[in-house]
Amino acid sequence: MNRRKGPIAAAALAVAMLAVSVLIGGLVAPSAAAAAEADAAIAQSLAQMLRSARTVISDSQARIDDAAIGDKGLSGGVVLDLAIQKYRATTGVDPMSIDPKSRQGKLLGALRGAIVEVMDDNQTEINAKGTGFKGFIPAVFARLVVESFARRAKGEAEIKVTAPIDLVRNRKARPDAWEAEVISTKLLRADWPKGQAFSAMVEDGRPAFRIMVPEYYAESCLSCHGTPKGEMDKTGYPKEGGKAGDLGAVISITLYH
Amino acid sequence: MTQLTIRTRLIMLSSALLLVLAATTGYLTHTLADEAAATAKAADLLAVADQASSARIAFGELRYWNTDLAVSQLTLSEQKAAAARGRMEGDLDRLAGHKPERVARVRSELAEYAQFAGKAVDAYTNDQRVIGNSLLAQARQHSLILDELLSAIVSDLTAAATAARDQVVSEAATATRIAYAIFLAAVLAGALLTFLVLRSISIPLRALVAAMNGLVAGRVAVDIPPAGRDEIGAMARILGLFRDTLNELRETLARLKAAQANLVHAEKMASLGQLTAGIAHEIKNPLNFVNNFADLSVELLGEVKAATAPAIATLGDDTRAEIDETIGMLSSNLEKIAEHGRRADGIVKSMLLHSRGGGSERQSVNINSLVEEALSLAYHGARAMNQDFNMTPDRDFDDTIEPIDLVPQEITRVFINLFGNGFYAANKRGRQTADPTFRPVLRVSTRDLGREVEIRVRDNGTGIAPEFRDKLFTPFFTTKPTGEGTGLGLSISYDIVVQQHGGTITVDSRVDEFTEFTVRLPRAVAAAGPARGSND
Repeated sequence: MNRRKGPIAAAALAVAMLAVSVLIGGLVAPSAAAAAEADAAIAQSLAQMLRSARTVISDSQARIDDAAIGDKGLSGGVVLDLAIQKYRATTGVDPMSIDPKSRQGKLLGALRGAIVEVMDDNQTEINAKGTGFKGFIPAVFARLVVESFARRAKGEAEIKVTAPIDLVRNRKARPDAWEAEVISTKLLRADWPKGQAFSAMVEDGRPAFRIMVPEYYAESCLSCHGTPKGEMDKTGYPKEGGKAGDLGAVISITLYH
Repeated sequence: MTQLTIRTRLIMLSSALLLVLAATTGYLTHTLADEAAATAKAADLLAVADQASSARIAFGELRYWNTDLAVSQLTLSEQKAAAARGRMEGDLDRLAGHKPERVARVRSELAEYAQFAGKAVDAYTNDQRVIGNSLLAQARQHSLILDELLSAIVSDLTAAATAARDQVVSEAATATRIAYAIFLAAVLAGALLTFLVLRSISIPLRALVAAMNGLVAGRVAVDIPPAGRDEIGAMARILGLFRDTLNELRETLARLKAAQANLVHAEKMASLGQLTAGIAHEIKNPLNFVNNFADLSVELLGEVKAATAPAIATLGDDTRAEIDETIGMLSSNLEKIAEHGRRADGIVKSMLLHSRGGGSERQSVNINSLVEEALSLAYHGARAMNQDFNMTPDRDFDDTIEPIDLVPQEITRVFINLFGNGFYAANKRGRQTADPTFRPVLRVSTRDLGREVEIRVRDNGTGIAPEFRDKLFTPFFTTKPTGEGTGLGLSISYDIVVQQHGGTITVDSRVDEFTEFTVRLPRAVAAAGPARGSND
């Protein structure tokens, strides 16, 4: 699930962040509200980093699937550098400037490490010559990255790319009860502002900040998720029949306190 | 079959054929219905077997998608697995009606499998591969049992369906054979019935046509088929009536011809009678002379004998003897002339008496004399007609009979007839019989019964056949050859005795033994007797 970030998306993100702040601010004490704002900022930056890296893969998809080329030149380092460039271009913030000792810095670092690990671990497959489609697509890349991130940030944070249940392809991405509830009652609501994230403090064994960042189908998504519904995409999975702008995925981030 | 009308026969034939057709159709319909039911049952079993196969296939898919899910984690596989299980459950639902216990076992195994497989997938989803492998192994155990159960159900049902189908095929073959047999039997029975009915019509019809042709050709003796109750029978009856009418017409024609011949004969006889009367009259005068002169000559000869006696006595013995002898001979001759003259006179008188006829005045008459006279006339008549005739009438007269009032000429005719018939019959038997000791006899007896007089005339002739008895007194009926009898004798006799004299005339006879006529004449004349034709 890739998503290009343009000025509009950036504006939307800002609005979303503001909305989350307002929402949380209304419910909790000012100190808690500040903490939530910080959590939201961390979550958004993690989501952005993941998206940026995924966009790199999306942009490189044709190269990855080119059977004629051996080494695609997409090592972990290369991809990370490109992702950081994307991040910077989108947010105007250099992620490397964030204090690595800070919580945000540590989590972003874990995510960067995960990106590098996934790319490096899959060099053999990506560079296989003579094979066209290799199944290494943005969604798979993102899942592998968040799995790696989960190991790296164990006990601190989790990133999960989920979706409305009928769009979930891998059962590992199935929304849990809270996520399903948020998707159906908030994000899928007709009057839900486009791009606005939903976050809340939840108590599930231990208190955690959870945020659901919606992602919408762009034209590039529809080659696999568009119409006609039921037609096989290049991975051999039936297309969902989605249209550009439909809610296609949700980046669910949990920050444990 | 001729007891039934042709219409009834044809209706029965059609009905029988229709019945056979209906029975055959009924049997085939019934058999077809059975076959259809059996085929439906076989098809049903096959459908159930298919259902079981489908369940097995669905289970195969379920296993595949579960395994695929464990590896791929794709919700698509999960959906496919769920769909396969849904199909399988549906199949099992339908199968449960046929194999409830086995389906219950399948369901139980399926539940076990699904539980372990689900847990295994969850374990794989949670990256617990070892646990997943273990759970999947347990699921596999149940899946193997389940597969065997389904496989057994499929083969059992398929075998049952095959057996049912084989039975249907076998029963259809049997039904076909039976249908052929029924058809053959129906054709044969129909042909036989048709043949019989046509035969029952055509044979009498042909006979009838033959009889018609025969009648048209004039053969009245032709056989007419027996009159059955059917239409041909009715035709035969009418044809029979037609033949009877034809016969009667022929008989009437024959009788008319005979009557005509007899009338001619009677006319001849009447002329002869007149001639006879004339001749008799003419003969009577010379005969009187003969008789008178014979008598006179006898007297004269006596006178001559007395006058010449002295002279003769003087003659020699030889001469006298010669003269005496001559005179004796003359005397004897003259007596014979007188005797025979008287006899001739009697005959002439009788002839005149008979030929005159028509006399209807009653006179007091000695019946014995009348019978004797008639006997004499008849006898001489018979002698005159037949030189070989020889018979001695046997008389048994009751001499004590008082005279009786009757019309003598008529009653004489009666007896002349009866005696003539008796002579004829006895003489005829005498000619025909091979018995050399046979002697024709005619016995005439008279009895005085007080209020009436009985005369029996019995001959030992040929007798009268029973079939002719009631025709005896019919005018113109005769058994004699044409020309010999007029067929009027007994008819006239009957009229005279019964109508004219109020008496009775009856006959008793046995063929080739005797015939006896009994005439009874009352002294007091009663009213006219019964009409002609009655006979007792």
